[in-house]
Amino acid sequence: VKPPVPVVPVPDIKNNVKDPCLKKMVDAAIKSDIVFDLKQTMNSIFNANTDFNLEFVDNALASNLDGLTDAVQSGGIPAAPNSQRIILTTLSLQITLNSTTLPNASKEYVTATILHEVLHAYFIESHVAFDHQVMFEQYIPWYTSILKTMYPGMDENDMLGLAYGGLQDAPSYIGTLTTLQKQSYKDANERYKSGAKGTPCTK
Amino acid sequence: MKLTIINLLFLIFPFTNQQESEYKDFRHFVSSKYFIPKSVQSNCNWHYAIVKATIKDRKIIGYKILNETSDDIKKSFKFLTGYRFLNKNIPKNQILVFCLSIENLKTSCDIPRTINYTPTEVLSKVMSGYAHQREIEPNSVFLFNPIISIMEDPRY
Repeated sequence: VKPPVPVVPVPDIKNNVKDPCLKKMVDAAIKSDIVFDLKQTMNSIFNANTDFNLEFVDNALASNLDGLTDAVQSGGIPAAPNSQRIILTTLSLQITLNSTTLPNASKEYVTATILHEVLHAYFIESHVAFDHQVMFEQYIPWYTSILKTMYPGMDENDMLGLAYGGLQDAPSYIGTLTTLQKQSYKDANERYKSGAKGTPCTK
Repeated sequence: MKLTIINLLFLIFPFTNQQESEYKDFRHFVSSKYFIPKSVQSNCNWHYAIVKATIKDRKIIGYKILNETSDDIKKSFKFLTGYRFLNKNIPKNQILVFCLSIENLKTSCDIPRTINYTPTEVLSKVMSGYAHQREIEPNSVFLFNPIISIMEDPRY
């Protein structure tokens, strides 16, 4: 009698990015298994569960957009008779990285972009709304800690700048940061996005 | 709101002929395989389908959409044909009726939301569809919990 063939789980995080540099960066992010909180990581949500899938692609987007996260398929059932919440039973998300602007950006900037989009994916899966406000309130140390691990020599103010990148519409960003901070973070993002500062993305 | 009311009334609806839990795999199959047609993705109005599936020897051999809807929505259920029920508790031959609601959370679409259904209207549409089907084919099996397909804006 032949032993049963073990079922090999099919990874549901797919890297279909074409640009060689961005592809490598996405591979590194998947390999590092981004931790969202004490219990959940990118792989535990999207790789271990065949019903929840995540695909990375790159396409030309508007120059002011570094990436976007979209649910290409999302299905659910009512949670309970007295609950308005829907339980997601299936979810296929797609993260699009900007193939026009990001290949010229520094690695630090690409990493921050991937982190930002992966957080959106996590928030969709977790029914979190007001993403940028939540990122502002709860995830700035998360960003900077990951950036610090990956780029130990990086300037701390620049790390903060990249962490706050894309959060300009969050009410707390508008209301609590000083004009000086906003300008400083904007400058940091521009320098790392253009590749003038940071580690060049080698192919 | 509308989904909750539908759900509540489905649960207290006075007849049941088969345990919904027996159809868990099928519900999962539909929610994972259903893709909202492109024409509907760009339309912010509420869409739904009451689907009647004909099952022979535990296999879906055909389906019909019981409510008035677009051809694209009608075609979007083609994937049902050929589905095989593995659960032996499910009768081999039957008519199965379920409702799929497209929950549109998009803030803007090519065709903006022009019809704002009240909860009563939503409820009446679905329940009257079920009631009508029960009159025509009383032995139909009804799934009362809707299957929900969700659309929302991309996040940047």
